[in-house]
Amino acid sequence: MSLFALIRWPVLAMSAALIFAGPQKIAAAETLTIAQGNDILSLDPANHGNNSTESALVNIYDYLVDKDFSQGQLRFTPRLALSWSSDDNIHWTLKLRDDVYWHNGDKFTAQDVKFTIERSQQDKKLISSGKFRRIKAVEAPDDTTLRIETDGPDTLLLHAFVGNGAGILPKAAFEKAGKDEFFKQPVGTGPYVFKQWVKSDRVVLAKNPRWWGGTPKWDGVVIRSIPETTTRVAELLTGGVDIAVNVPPEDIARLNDNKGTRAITFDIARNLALHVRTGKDRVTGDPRVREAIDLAIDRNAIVQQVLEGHGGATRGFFPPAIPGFAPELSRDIRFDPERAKALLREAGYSDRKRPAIKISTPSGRYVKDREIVEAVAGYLEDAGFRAQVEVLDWTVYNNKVVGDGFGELYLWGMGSYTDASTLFVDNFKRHYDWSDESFEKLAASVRQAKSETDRIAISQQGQQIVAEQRVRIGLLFPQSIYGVSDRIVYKGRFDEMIAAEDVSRP
Amino acid sequence: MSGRSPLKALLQFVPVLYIVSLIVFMLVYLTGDPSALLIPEDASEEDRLVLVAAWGLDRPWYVQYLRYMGNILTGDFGVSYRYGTDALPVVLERIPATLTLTAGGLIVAILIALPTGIFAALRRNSMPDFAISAVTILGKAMPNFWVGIMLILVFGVWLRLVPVSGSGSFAHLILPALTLGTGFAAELTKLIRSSLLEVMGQDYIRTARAKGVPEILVILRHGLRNALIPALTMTSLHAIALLGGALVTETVFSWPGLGQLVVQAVYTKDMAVIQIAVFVITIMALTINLTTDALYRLIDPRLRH
Repeated sequence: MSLFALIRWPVLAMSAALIFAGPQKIAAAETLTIAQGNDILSLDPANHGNNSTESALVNIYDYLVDKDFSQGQLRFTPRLALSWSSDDNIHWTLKLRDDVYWHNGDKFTAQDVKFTIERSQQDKKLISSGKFRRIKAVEAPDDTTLRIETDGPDTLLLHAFVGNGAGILPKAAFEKAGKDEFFKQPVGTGPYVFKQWVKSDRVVLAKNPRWWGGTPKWDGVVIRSIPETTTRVAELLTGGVDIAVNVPPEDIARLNDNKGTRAITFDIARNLALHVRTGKDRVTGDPRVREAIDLAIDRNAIVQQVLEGHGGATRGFFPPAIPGFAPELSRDIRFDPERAKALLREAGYSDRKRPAIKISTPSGRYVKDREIVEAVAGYLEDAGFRAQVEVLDWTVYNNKVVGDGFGELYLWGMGSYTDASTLFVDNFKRHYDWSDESFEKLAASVRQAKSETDRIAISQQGQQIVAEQRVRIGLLFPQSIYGVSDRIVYKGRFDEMIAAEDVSRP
Repeated sequence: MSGRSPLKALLQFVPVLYIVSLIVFMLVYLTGDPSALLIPEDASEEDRLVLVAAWGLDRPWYVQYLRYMGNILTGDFGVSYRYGTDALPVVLERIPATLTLTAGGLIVAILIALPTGIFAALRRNSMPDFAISAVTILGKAMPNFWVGIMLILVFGVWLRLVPVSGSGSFAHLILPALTLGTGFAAELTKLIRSSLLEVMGQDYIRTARAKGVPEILVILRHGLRNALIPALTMTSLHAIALLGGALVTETVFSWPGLGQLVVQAVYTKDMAVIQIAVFVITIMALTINLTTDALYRLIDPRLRH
């Protein structure tokens, strides 16, 4: 029996399968297809805590206000709320749109907003239950007026109406269906109507013909979950998707050289910093050692070499578009390896007695995280440290953050913030074994800040103290890199949300 | 291998499932609570502790375990922390994709391994046999991750014959099934070759040939039938491994199977999902074992008694 006779049928069957599978379907011209790195976790805006999920949900639900970073600084613009005012930052009046309908045809009213806030506050099992913690009372005197009272002056109230947990839900439809049934076929006021969610695969949305903002730009939106970067890029190259998020810097040239695709880069709300354990039992308990670390690192070289220029060196913690950004921390990038060596000598160290530093990092959680830490370790070695890099799985890493199980330094990349006062949310005593009287006074006063200007000033002072005492050592603000098809126009957004209405045809 | 009644086998699994659930509970419990992995990045420690208390994760382990087992006995498998919904449907809706991929991978492997294994045995020590041996070693040595990416680049990006990733049609199944199938085909080919070689030297084969039975029938009816038992054992073990999750292949092709779900559940310490997935995989493994037993009896009449 010949080999051909034996394998004839299997080979024919496989060939037929390939032929009948046909050429890959290119997405229909009117459908926008977005490839994210993760699946969405929930259709409940108050119960996911995840940026990829929120990025999909912003197409279905609306916030009361919008975050606008297009001018390089956060501004709140009207969405479901047309205007807002308060004389004392405690009692607020919001006027709502009168021309908004839910996807099921019901009219949107202030009762829906009241319901959304109260549901979140009452159901402690919701991941974003703390979202509206400062709201003491909410009233809806008529369909388009909302009155809110906060538990004290709260200059951050509008920040609570954007981001994870801020999507507005319909009271009547939710109460009629019950939570479980409602989120099987959720109803929002956004430009796109939910159609289907195939878990770990795709979310399918269709145009909302009665959208208050006019006719949506796309007939449909498909949000796909493609965790493997190579596959995400391959889908973009073959026209399977229009946007591929989080592309590594080394793929930029390939995307730009390929006909029909390109790479875009843009600033995002994220920073990478070394968090320092300052307990007396550690070498980093000595402020001179901490300062030596700060001075030993060539941040500009890391940005150029590791991120291929797609980021900005900084000693700060909040990028320029965030209210409370401290500009001097990004202007004054200190790199002085000789001074670092001198500081170590002052602290009693020498070539024969080098201070041991352990630096922990996740791998793949932030862009080039491990590589950045390896570069930092190299600079520390040059300055006279004995640096050991510890690479950990993200789950273990998170446990160590909560349980304070790290060594001297660990990399942390905070993101998704809208205000620099987030700095004071951290428990510095517990996580860094550090306390400072003037910092604590600032932390206590920031919540009660009477005005936006006061809050920003307090935040900036707080950042200065943290940076000067090297409790956190800011490294850089990474940029995001997406691959996009030439059939669309898209610039990327600072908050990394991909609203289909921000994407247009050329 | 034989003589075990299906009912008895099922009953034996009750204590197994119980012990497995206890071990999984303890392991997940020891890795800490999932709150830090799930809360928004700008949430405070205070917010996290409210969530921990609301989920009952601040209670002692035995209270959590008793509550968990009590719920299971009343048919409530709990809520997925990650998805915020009942955990049972979260797991069950992955099963069709997992079964499809497992079946696809096995069919590809069998379609490749059976003819090439037979051919290699019949042409023992010939050039084609050496070539097949070399290819099987290569097939075994290439990691699924690499094979998957190469298939994507060749058939998806260059030739544009099939979709790069995703699920929902037969075309979507082709590349992941080839990725899984080719790796296993390499192992299976070698096994079929060596089993067949062993069988073809037996007296009854010589007798069959002496009786003038055509060679093709000698191979298929007398040789292959007896050589199939080890291949079947290996295939069933491989099927069980695939049902437990072909994680790498699923990730490369964005295939929505159990593998991705289980790994994500482990990462986020999603207790209810891990437990149900372990139950489901155990039950599927039992089913495969029972089916394999039945096939043994079909192939070898001696095992029926």
